[in-house]
Amino acid sequence: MSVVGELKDIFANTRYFNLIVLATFIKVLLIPSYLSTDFEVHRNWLAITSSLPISQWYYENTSEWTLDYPPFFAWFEFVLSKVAYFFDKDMLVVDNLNYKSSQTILFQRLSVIVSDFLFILATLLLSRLLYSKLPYGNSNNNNNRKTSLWYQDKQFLVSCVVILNPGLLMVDHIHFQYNGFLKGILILSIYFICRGNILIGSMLFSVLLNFKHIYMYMAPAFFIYLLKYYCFDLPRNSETQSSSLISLFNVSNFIKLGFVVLFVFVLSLGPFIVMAQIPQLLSRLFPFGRGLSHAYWAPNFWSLYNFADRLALFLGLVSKDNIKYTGNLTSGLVGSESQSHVILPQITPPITLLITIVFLIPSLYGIFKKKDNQSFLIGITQSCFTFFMFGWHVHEKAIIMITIPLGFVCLFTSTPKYSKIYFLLSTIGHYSLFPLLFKATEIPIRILVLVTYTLMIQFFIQQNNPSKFRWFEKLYLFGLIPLEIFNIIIHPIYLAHIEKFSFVSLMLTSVYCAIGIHYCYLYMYSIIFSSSPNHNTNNKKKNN
Amino acid sequence: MSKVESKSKLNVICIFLTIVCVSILARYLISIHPYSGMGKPPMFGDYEAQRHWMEITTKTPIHQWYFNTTDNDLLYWGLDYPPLTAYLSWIYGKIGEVYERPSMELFTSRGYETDTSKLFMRATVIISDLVVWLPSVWFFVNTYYNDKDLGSRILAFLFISLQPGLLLIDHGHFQYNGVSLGLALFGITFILANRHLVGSAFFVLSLNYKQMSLYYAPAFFFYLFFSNLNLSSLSKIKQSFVNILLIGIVVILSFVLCWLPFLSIEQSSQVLHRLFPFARGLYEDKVANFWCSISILVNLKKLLSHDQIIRVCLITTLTTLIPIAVGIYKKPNNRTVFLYSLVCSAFSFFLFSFQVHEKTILLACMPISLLILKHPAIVWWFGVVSTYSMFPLLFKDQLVVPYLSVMAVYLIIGYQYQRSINASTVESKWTKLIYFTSFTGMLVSHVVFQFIQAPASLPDLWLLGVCCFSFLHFIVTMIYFHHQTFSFNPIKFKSN
Repeated sequence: MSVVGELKDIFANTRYFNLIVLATFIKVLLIPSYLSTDFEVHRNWLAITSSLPISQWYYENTSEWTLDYPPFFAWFEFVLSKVAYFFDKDMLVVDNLNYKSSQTILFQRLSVIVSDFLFILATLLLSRLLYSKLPYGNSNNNNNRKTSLWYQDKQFLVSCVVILNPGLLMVDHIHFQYNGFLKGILILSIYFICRGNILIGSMLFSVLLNFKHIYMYMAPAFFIYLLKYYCFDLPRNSETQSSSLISLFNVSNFIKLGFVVLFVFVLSLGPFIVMAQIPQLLSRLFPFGRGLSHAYWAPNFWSLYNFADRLALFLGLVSKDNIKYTGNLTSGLVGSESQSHVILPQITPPITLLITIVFLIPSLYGIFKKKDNQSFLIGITQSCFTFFMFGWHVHEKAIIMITIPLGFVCLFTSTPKYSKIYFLLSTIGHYSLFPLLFKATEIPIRILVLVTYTLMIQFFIQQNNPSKFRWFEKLYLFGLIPLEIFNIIIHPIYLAHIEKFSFVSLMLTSVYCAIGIHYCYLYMYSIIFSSSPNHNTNNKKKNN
Repeated sequence: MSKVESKSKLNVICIFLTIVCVSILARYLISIHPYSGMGKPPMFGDYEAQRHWMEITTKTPIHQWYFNTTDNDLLYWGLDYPPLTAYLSWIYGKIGEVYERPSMELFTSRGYETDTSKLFMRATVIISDLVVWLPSVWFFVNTYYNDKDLGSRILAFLFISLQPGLLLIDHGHFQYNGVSLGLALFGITFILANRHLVGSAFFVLSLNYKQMSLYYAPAFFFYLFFSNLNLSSLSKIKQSFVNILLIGIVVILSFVLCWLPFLSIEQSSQVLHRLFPFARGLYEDKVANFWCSISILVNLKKLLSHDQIIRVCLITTLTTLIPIAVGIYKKPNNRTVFLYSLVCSAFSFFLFSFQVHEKTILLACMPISLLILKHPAIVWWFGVVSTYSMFPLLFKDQLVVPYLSVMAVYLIIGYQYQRSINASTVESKWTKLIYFTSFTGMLVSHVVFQFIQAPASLPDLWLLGVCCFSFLHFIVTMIYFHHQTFSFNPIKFKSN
């Protein structure tokens, strides 16, 4: 069936249409909510791409928010600016810093909402691919499916789980970014690869890399998958390799793949190669000067590392004379360049890269071992997760890159672990995005959105793939409630004005989430390494 | 076995929590938009009125609430709602003082607009909904539709409690209609459950929260009167007399309780004077009722004096109430007829009475929405029309974005929902024609409203157009429900 045919098949059932309407108008209702500086970042890029020649795009620095996404994203802004012209011309002037007319806000918000349709359609396609063939209730009858109860239709539930992702709602439609359609390209690329259209899939992934290079986090998984199952002609369903690898190497496939990927990169970077701007472009794309952690520590390994450092200092484990650097001790929330550890060894980009590679290797074990959609999705997720845990200057927003692909596996019946890990990671990970929305109006939104979503997926999971939680998992999850009360009531009233404690709220959130996220990370490994669903894993107990 | 039970119990808890969260979320998403009179000094709007009442009730002694004093300038949003509103304002005002003191100070807080105080005010409406409106709908659904399964009861609950008009007025424009409607719905439901005394007490509470609930009074009165009246034998007559007397006593007692601080002649006459301002005009702004619609043809204000207009209104309203009395008299003690008569009674007042606001269509909208599982198509359609009739108001409040979003969701999802209720019936040609004309008309008027400037000599032309168009819909709906009352056959309905 063609892609169009599949979409027709999906929309034959009106519940998908309802889902889209609901999701879209929730986003529309969020139009007047708080906008972060990312709004100005993207307005500035609109202005740069529309009013300057290409040669200036990566040199322009009137605004502090210089263009630091790859060329395709710049072209995307260029196309948007053509439409923006009809809303408000003034937003396209580079010197109009912090320009926020109501038309500008409307245009930019709508551009996110409209581009999100790619994400929605891609999600519907992939969830159909993954779930429509699964045994359905008592019968596989197609007619039966359409009249069935919506809360037992897994294909629909998974679409809900992914499309209504609260992280995406918070980051894209309140905070302001364009992650939705990028996730759309990612999902489409996964969809085509799972479907067997490897070349289209890998082309889309290369396109994605040229939209936003952070998706390199997933590249290792794609690389292994394509190398093993496309460039080598391995007999299917066989784990033993009798003949030598060289003889199995499929040269024509390799050349085709290489050509497609190269073609995309040339299309994107070509003009800048010709203009000899590649070093400048790379310096914009990879600003290593920004420090190990972002202003608000992403809840990863370095968050715990930073915390251990502060804690040691706070407890006076080191005498004052040994402290070389005292500039930021009180603020705790160490800004970009000046981040420095007092007691623990300094971390440099090569160190993070090394650790990441070490942990990447086992992450890709699942993909390497078995060719199926589940292991592919899990592998993508874990590859991304590893970068999130150990990468240099990771943003907390990157958690959505993990929860979206993981969302697709959450109702696979082979093991309840899938739904359990998704529930844990979604709750903890999306909670860790809360500091992004810190204004009075948005605090209820963040709580309501996350709680509603969590209850919703809990209902879906209990209906279809029931999983039990251990006591410490429950305790941890319910611990988020007092943490949130502390963050929104106790901290602002009693502690925020004391300089020494002004950072406590953010640090506590980061560290608390980091603990849960480490647990999820290890749990993911236990999924990858457990071959059969009944296999009991010891990793569970390795809670940090 | 017990494992299965505990699992399904967990599921039910999960579903209920989800529904509560969805209810709050839907309301909160609307409430982040502007409210009436936002940033419009010197008078601001309904939002400021409610905030001002909190300020007045907490800062002045109770006997001054309804009087013009140095601290209480009645010309600046003086209290003109009954005592229960004032008490509730006092409670919220006390909490507000703790939460953000400057927002409740006398005089200096006028037009107080901060993000945090907006959050507080919005939260008070949502909490009122959670405490009064949602439980009342849930109670109703479980009483009236008790023969339906849990799934359809939940959907009916969501449909009734998320009516777009009520959402936009309460959480967008800013009012507490959920409280008065919820109290009235408690009254209705208790009466449906044959608890007439409790029901009438709740209705009195509703009246004392917002005098607009008087729109339902005829239906309540006739239903309670005729249902308790039994003249077949002497003992039955005695019993009827006692029943009716008891109801009367409960009503009076509840009134006395609500008015306790205002029982002196001076106080009560002043409160009444504030509640029923007959000195005001025939209708506020432009309303989709009879008087506003015929103003295109005849100018009543030139033909008749102010007193005469009031008298004409009274007579027409009372005349249109007669069929309700007849309907209930013929079929006493019938729950569905009671609901029909509530609809018709609200319509009589809305279409023909004096001093009507466009927002009061919500009073007709509420009992109609209760009939969702009986008349899905027309109930759904009326939700659209009633919200549409308030579009000029919402436009003035800068609530076009939430208006469009809520309407789109209601139109699309609501359509499929109402189709799913009676999937077997095929829409007749006439129904399709009515749908077509009414939706085309609404669409065209929206486009015209948005993109074409009204002629300079008639600046209100589009507004008046919207009103007249809605009026046509309303009168058709009213006639439909009158027809339903008389053609209603209880036995046939039961066999269905």
